[in-house]
Amino acid sequence: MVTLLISSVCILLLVAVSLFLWGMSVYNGLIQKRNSKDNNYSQIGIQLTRKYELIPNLVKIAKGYMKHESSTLEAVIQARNQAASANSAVSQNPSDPEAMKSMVAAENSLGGVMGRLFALTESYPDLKANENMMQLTEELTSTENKVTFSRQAFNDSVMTYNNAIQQFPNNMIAGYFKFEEGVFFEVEGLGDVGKAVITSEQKKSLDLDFDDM
Amino acid sequence: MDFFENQRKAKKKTSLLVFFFLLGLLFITTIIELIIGAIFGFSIGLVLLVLFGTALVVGLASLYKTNELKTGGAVIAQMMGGQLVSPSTTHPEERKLMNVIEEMAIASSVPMPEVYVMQNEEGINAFAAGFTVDDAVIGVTAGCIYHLSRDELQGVMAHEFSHILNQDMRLNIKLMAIVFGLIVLAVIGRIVVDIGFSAGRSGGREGGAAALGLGVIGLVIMLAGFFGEFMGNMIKSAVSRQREYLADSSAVQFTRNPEGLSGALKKIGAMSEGSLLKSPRTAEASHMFFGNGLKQSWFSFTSTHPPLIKRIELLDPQFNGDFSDVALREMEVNKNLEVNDIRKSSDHSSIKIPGVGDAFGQAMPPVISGLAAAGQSIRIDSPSDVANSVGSLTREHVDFAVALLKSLPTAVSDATRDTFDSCALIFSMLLDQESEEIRNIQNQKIEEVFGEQMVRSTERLYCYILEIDPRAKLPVSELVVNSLRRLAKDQYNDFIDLLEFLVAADDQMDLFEFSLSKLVVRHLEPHFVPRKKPVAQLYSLKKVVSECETLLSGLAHAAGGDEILVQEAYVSGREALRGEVEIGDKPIDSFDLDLLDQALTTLATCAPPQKRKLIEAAAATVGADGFLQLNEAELLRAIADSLGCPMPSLAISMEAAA
Repeated sequence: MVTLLISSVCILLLVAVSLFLWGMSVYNGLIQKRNSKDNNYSQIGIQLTRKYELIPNLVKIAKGYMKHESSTLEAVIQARNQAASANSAVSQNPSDPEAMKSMVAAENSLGGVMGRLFALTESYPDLKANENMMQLTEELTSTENKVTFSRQAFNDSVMTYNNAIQQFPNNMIAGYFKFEEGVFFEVEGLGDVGKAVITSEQKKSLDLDFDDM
Repeated sequence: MDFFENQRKAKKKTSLLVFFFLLGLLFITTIIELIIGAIFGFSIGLVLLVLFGTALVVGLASLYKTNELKTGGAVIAQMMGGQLVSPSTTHPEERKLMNVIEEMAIASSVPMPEVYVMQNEEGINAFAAGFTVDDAVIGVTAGCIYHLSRDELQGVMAHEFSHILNQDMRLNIKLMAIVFGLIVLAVIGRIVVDIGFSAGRSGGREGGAAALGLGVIGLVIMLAGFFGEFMGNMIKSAVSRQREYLADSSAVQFTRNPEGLSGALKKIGAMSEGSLLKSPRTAEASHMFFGNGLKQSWFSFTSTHPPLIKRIELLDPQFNGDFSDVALREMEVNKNLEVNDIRKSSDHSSIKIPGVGDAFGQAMPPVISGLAAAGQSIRIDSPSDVANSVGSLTREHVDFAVALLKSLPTAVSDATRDTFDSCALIFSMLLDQESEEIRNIQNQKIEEVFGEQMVRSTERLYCYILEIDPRAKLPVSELVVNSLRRLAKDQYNDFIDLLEFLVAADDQMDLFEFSLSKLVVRHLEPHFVPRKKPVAQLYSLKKVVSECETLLSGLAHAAGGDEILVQEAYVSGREALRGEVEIGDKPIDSFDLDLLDQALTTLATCAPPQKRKLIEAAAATVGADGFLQLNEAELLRAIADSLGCPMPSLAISMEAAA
């Protein structure tokens, strides 16, 4: 009787231990994936900050030439300020999906007005020939490129994390501890910049769709 | 201390650890047996059952932890609440930290580790964790970068680097897994007690009795767990305490500045937080930290760290144990000082025209110009000096690293901190310098894979690469590794393919290209490709005769010269291996770097004493004429590196020895 009791307790205990360890490993695994996603943002954050530092200088130079486009210039500055504060909010807390969403939105609208600005510069050959302007444009392009480049690693880690929290049986633990889905950093309306990288990204998502079927 | 000897000792310590673990297990089971036996009476079946049950639980838990930790140090840093510091950080305190670590990494020829800051920790503490130099990470508390001066920070980092070089980290991770197995019982016991008693309260009379039984068993497990924890702490302190003294003394050897380290320790003593950590998981990792992270328990012999006062006294014999006159800087004062620390005021807003940057007209730091004057060949007295230099640092190496970093143009040092530019930097070092035709082919391929902007960055950096000190090129690749870890998996694959293409583009592989690509791939691979199962170690070179022949012939050919010189070089390497293994008396005719590469992969599985022999033989071969050219010295470093032995820049160590 006693041996029976003890052995049944032992078996129960073993099951409990295995469950406990399993739960812990899933939980820790999710935390780790979330952290690596957040860590991958740090470099993007710095590059974006750099970009936001450059834009006011660019606007300052453009102002001298584009007397009649002050509304566009204003829009650029406004979009830039919004994006900058959204970026610092994300850098503070990269795991907050809401902050991430508003950052992506702000970044997209900034991209839109910047595109408009660059389209307008076409009709100001003097501005385009300005040496400082050329340097700034060049540096802006290369910074933009770096962002595009780093984005791929970030989006990969978001995908890994999202897959992990959606899969059974991880989703039970993810649901219980309220793991929130990560937000991809996707930019609409691509410029010339980083086209190659984006197409390979898109290709990959196509591949994935195929796999899912 | 001898690197190879240390490795051997660390291995021995591991077996000691397993012995302690089994002892702890036996101890716990005995206690459970005794208690259960006292309640229910003894029987053979019961004894066996308990024995199996406990062993299974403890074993399972240890295995689980081993599995969790197998990816290296980053897991531990994140567990402790660390946030990755971006290599290009502009935060002044983080920048200071990164600069100090970059210097130490260059000085010790270890790839730049990932750095984590524990933002919630106000005490002064730090740790290094990982299996090998490639997956090592360094974690520091926010209090540490906030309160310590540059010298003090350097002292602490030198302490952590000695843990990396002495193989302490590896031991520490194993210790973590083993101790977790022992303390898991305490956690489970607590849960079982909870379940038992709460079920007892809600259940009926019969269920109540069973639940009470469960509760009692839970208590027993908890008690056993308590002893397990106690044993675990004893094991940790036995392994860890001596190592802390050792790391302190190594740190002084690295920086030759005891005031830095003792200053940091004094600040710990003077602060109310000291080195205490808030993280709830401190107990698991306390033995990895620089200072004691746990509140002093009543059993001082289970403390993982030596007493603070004793550590300070060893560094500063004048110290009287009084912390009251240690000045803790206020944050505002600190800020001003720190901005000055940024190694170079990197002014981004002006674009440097390639070739007319600060590469020209900049005075060479004294260390570098001194060596350049020596004609860039290094006198080599005895091959064993070369082997001795592995894994050991001196103040000169650190000075050399600082000077080297200072001599880099801003464009290059900024590039090492950015993922995109780091790719470009590596490509620019592989562009063919002789033929424009080949360079065009290379550029075309770069554009094909990574786009036009990458070509532009590569060409811009190429202009700087032509101008920088040739000795800075390989060290730069150690820094670049940390930025490249942030590549996406696809980008990594593209990068490696492109690297191979660029190296092969001129149909001949020179030593620099070989050394560079070998270093980068070797250090980057563990981050992207899951670790392979460790192969059994080779304790004798007799099984790898042909690999030894390939290595020495390759080196003899690399050292250059006519047939007679090659033969001489080979023979002098062969002599160095005598006693260990007899190899053929003629070098292999052809010189094939692919073959050399394969041979090195096999030889990397040798045990430390055999590795030592190999490095001595390699040094004897390359330095058969008594001198090492720069590219020969670099090749030697790349070879030592492939064997898993970080060798500080020979240029400086040989200078110091001569």
